[in-house]
Amino acid sequence: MRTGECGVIVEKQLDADDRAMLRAMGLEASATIRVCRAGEPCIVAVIAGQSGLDGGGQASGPAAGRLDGSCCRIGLSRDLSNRIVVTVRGDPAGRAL
Amino acid sequence: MTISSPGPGPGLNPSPTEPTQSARPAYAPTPAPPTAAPRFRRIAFLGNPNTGKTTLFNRLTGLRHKTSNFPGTTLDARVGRMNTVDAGLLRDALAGARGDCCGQPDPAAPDPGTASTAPFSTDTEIIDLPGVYSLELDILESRVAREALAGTAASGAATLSTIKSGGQLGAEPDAICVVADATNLARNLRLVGEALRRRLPTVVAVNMIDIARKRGLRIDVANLQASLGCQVLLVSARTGEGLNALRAALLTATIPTRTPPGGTAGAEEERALAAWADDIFARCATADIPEGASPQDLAAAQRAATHRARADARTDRVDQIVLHPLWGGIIFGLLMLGVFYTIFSLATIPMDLLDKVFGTLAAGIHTALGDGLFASVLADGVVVGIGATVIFIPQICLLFFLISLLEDSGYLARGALLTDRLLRPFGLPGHAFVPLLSAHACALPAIMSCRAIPDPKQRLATILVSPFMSCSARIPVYALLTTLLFPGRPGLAALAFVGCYLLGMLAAVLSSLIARRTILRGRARPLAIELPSYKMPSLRTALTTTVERAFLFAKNAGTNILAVSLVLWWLGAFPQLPKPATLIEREQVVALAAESFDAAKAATPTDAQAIESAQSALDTAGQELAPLAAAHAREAKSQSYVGRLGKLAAPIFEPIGCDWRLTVGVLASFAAREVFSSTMAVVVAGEVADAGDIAENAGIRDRLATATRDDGKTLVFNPATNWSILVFFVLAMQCLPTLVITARETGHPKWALLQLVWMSGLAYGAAFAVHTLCLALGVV
Repeated sequence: MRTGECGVIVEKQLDADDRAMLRAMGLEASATIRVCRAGEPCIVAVIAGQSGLDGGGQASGPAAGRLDGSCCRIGLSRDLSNRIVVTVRGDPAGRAL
Repeated sequence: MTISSPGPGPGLNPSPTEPTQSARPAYAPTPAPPTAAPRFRRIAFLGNPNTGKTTLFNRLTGLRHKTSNFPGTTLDARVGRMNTVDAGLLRDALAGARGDCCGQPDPAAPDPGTASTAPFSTDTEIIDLPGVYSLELDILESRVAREALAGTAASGAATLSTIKSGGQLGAEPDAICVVADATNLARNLRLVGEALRRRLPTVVAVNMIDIARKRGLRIDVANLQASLGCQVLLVSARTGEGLNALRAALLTATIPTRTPPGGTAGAEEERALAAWADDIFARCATADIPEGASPQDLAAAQRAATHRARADARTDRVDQIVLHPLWGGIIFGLLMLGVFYTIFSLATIPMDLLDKVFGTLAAGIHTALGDGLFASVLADGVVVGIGATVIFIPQICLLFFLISLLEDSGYLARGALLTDRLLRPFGLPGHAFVPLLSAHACALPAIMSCRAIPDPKQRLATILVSPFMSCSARIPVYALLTTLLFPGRPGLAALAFVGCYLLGMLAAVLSSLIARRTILRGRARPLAIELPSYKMPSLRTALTTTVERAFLFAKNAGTNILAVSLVLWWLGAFPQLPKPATLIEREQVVALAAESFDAAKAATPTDAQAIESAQSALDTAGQELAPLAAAHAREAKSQSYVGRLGKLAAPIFEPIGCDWRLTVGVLASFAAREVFSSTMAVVVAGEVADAGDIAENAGIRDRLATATRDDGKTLVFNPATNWSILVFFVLAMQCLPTLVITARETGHPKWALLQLVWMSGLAYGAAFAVHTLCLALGVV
C-alpha cells in the first residue's frame, strides 16, 4: 500500500493473540483504513463508519470518508503490517500493508 | 428524565430526546428493571489507553491518592479519594437517578431532600485500572482489569482505608466509570459494552469533548444514555468541563437498564458486540453537516470540517518528519540529548545542594555531639543514609517530568515506533530507549520508567540490562583510571572514556539477547501502538506524575537504602581503632593553637603581626597533624570489617590484578561506585579525600600513581591492573540502591540477585581476560 491509499482489511495472517489485539484496537476484518505512512513504521488511520472512498478509489482529502469526526492512528511494526492484507478498489487481489 | 449535557457549543445536541422505537435494532435486549443506587465506597475507572483516564483520575482526586502495584504485577494501582462534591449537583443527579434512563421512575433511589447546597467531602475511593482495549484479551493489563472488576484480585494492592487498617483488597468495586474518548467513540463503545455486561452501577464519561467539538463531532447524549441504559457525561479532563456533574453522577450511578449482546469471549460474541457498538454510534454521533441546518450551524459545521481536515493533514505532515529514517532520527537524538543533558547536568544543581545540606547536617551533629558512637550513628549512618536516598530525587523528578511532557504531547509513542527496529533484534522494544538512555545518568529512575513497557518480558529484560549503561557514579572511577593510564595524554584518556560507554552499551544489548533466548524466552509482542494526536502537554499532569513518582521512590526505596547505608557504615566504622597517644596529643595542640588564634583576633583585631603569628602556629600544628590523622584513617580502614574482608578476599581478586588495597576499594564500591576513589585515597595514598579532591589535587593522584604494593616493587595501579579494573567497573553491578529498585520493580528479589550475579560474573570474567591479555602483551 502507498501513502494516502484507502482500503478494506480482508485478512490478517497473524496468530490469535495478535489478531485479537488488533481487533480490539479497531483493525478488524472489513475495517476501512487509510495509510498515513507506508513502510516502516507503518501508520494507518481507522476510518469508522462507511467506506468513504470516492469513485476513483481514493480518499477525497486527508479525512475522507470520516463521517464521524473521529481520529485514530495506529503505528505498526513491519512484522505486523506485512501480514495484514488490504483490498483497494480496482485491485481485488489484495496487498499487504 | 435525563441528565443534560454540560457546555453548549456548535454541534452538540443537549436537548433530551427519546430513542425512536423504530430505530432500535432487532437484537436489542429487553430493558432490565431499574435498581437502587447504593452508597459507593469504590469506583473503578476503566477505559482504552489514551482516553485521558489518568488525567481525569488526577482531576477528581487531586493529590489525594496513593500508588502501589496490582497484586503480583508491577502495573500501577492508583487509588484516590474523590474530592468534594457539590451538594446541589448531587441533589440534581439524585433527582435524575430517581428516573432511569428510559424515563421510568426509580422509587428505590434515595431522596435527595432539601438539605443545604454546600460542598461536602466523600469517602468514595476511585481505583484507576490499567488502560485496556478489551477486557477479554489474554494480556496482563486485561487480566488485571478483569480480576479487579470481578473482585478476584489477590491481596496486595489496597485502598486508602484498607492500607490504614491493614486489610486486604479483594472486593468487587461498587461502581464503574468507563472513560471514553469522544474523538474515537465507536471503538470505545465496545469496552463500554463489556463493562455494561458486568451489571454494576455504571457511568460513562465521554472525555476530550473539547477536542471532539472542534472536530465538529456532535453527540446526542440523551439518545446515547437511552441506548446504553446508563448515565453519560460529556467531560474534558483538560479544561475541567463537566467534572462537577461527573462527581455527582459517580455517586448516583445505577445498574444499566440495557445489556449488550455477547457475554463470553469468542469471535461471534465479539462481532455482535462490535455491531452493537457501531449501531449505537451511528445513531448517536455524527460529524455530518445536518440537513436543514441554520446558516450559523452550517457555518460552524463547515468550520469544524475545515479544522478537522487541517488537523489531520498537519498530523500527517509532522509524522512524515518525525518518523523519517534520517530527520526523525536526528530529531529523536536531539530530544534524547536534551533529556540526558537535563538529568545529567541540570540535576546536579539540586543534587549538589542536597549533598551540602546533608554534609553540613552531619558535620553539625559531630560539632554538637562530638565524635562518640551515638553521633557517629546519627551523622555517618542515618543522615548519610537518608541523604543517599534523597539525593536521587532531583534526577527522578526531572526524568519523569520530561517523559510525561513527551508522552502527553503525543511524541513518545512515535519515538517508540522509531527506535523499535533498532532494538528489536536484541529482544528489546522501542519503549526501552528512554530508560536505557536515562540510565546513563542514573539507573534508578531508568528502571522505574520501565513500567511504560507493555510486554512483561521485554520490561524485565530492560530492567536487567539498564545498569550496564555507564551512569554518572562511574565517571569519577573512569576519570581516575584513564588519567592513571594516560598521564599527560588527555586525548587518549578521552578515547578510553568513550570506549567505556560503548562497552557498557554492547554488554547491555548482548545480555538482553542472551536473556531473551534463555530465561526470558518467548515471542516478543510486536509493536502496535495507538498514536495520540499531537497536543500541548499538560503541566498539571506532568507535575502530578512527578510528585507521585518521587513519593513512590522515597516510600519504596528509601527505607531499604537507609537500612543498607546503616549496615555499610557499620562495616566501615567498626571495630573502632583507638587513637594513638601521639595523635591525641597533636589534636590537642591544634585545638590550643586554634583557641590562641581566635583569642588573638578578638583581643587585638588590629595587630596584624600577632594574628599572623597565631595563624602560622595553627598552620604548623595542622601540618603536623595531617599525616598522623591520615595514617590513623588508613589503619582504621584496614582494621575495619570492610578492610578485613578485603584482605580475606584478596586472593579472589588477585587474578584480575588487585592487591588487598584495591580489593578493599572494589568491595566498598559494591555499595556505591563513587566511593572507590575516596577509599583508594585513604587506603593507598593515606589521604582523606573525595573524588573532587583527587581530580583537582595532583599530589594525591601522584601518590596513587607511584604507590607500591607490599613487595615494595610492583605498582598498586600498574597498567594491566588499571585496564582490568576499568573493564570491571564498566560491567560490574556496584550499586545497592539499584538492586533494591530492581527487586521492587520486578516484584521478586531473585531478579535483583540474577542481575548482581550476571553482571559481577561478566565483569570478573572480562577483567580477568583483559588482565591476562595485558600480561601476555607485556603491558605491565
